[in-house]
Amino acid sequence: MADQQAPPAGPDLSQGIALSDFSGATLLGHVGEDEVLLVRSGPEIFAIDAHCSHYHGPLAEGLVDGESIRCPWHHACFDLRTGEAARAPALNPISMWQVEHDGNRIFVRHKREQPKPRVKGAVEASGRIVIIAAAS
Amino acid sequence: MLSSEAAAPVDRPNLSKDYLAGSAPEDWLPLRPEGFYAEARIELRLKTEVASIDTKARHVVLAGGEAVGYDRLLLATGAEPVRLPIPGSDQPHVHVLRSLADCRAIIASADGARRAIVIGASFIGLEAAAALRARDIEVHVVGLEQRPMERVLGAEMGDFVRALHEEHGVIFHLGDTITSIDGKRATLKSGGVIEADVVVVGVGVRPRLALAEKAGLAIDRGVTVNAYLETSVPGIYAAGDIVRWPDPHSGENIRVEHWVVAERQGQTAARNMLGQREAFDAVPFFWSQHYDVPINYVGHAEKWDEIAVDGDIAARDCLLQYKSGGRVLAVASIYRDLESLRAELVMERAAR
Repeated sequence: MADQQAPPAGPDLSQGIALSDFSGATLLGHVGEDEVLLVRSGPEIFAIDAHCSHYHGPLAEGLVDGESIRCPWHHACFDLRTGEAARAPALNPISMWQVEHDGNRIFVRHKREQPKPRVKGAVEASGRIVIIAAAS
Repeated sequence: MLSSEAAAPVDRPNLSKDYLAGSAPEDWLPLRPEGFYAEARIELRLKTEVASIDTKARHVVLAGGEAVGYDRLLLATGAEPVRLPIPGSDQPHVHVLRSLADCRAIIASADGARRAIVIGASFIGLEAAAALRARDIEVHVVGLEQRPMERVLGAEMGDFVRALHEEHGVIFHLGDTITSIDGKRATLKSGGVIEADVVVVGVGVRPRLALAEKAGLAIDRGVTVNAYLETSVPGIYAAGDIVRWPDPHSGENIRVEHWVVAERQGQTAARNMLGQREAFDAVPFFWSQHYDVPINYVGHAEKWDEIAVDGDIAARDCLLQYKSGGRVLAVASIYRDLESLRAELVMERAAR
């Protein structure tokens, strides 16, 4: 089955690409069987899973805004620094990949350890929380 | 987490879309994997009815009398599908669609069925119609409106949605309703009779406000909350279909019955219950799926004075702007995803 599928899209990022070949906001490539998306955010380049953790929407067709990327299908939003799902309908993080710079080339060979989510502001332990989730 | 439903939280949009159509596997449904709740130390109590809230003693009282104390309380009771007050609507082949149990009951009735009636020509009704067509069942949609979805999407999009469903074999009975269901025989107000093996009633929902009302929370066609989703009683928050919140984009207090809004409100309410001060300022978003056509919608327009159409609706390549006094209140689109995202961003920036 797997060997009959089309090869993953774009360049093999483990072989590296020239920075001059990455001119837009995003570039879709692959590492082995995994599709990986390079994303430019200001001076930085991030490498993330190419698909949304909600319904597998193509993040390459999404919108980059600052340090986040939004999925074109249902407007989920991911933090490019941590991979966390910053906005529903995605609830799970996407994987982050390690970007290696070597001269004028960038390489992606393996996943990073998943960064800790950002915590905005103070969090207090507020004892016991009750949620009434559905009621007649 | 107390829920009257029998199932742990599910990916509810699937219940009127792929899962109902039979094209989503069972394991797509749970919103969180098995073990998530225990791992996160969330005590999930299903089939648990809450009878009342004692805001002074800070506990909720379950139907069996047990009191469950809280320091912070979130009301996320959702909405109740409206049932039709017509003879025969209590028969086992007549369904509403809200819970996983409802969805499974429809699937069971649809097994071997030849013909279905969907009462209601809005989102749930038409998504159910598309799902039943995917099961190769003849579908009749009966709706009071002259055009499906016109109230939300306007006349042109309404005509397109109707034509799309007709292309897929749906038979419409618009400006009409069902006055009684006698066994399989459903009688139209206009006089005809349709024999159907399964009936799905999708005529809207009512927010479940009984608990909030009884507890004395401020109510205004929904549970009134401030920008932080806190109700009139400090320490009690609310999220989802029941909430009327101050929307910074329209400048109005609005209530919205859509999944993504509810999820995002839950997330904001959770952070605020943990001591943060995060205003809920997300631009409302929903999507609706009809066969292979997704309709995406950002913003909130209860009325408008102009709809600007860019592209070609019939060609399924369009972006509609719903405007009032020249201001864009909402945008609906088909296969213009990037533009829909950009419109969302513009609305976010405008509210700041």
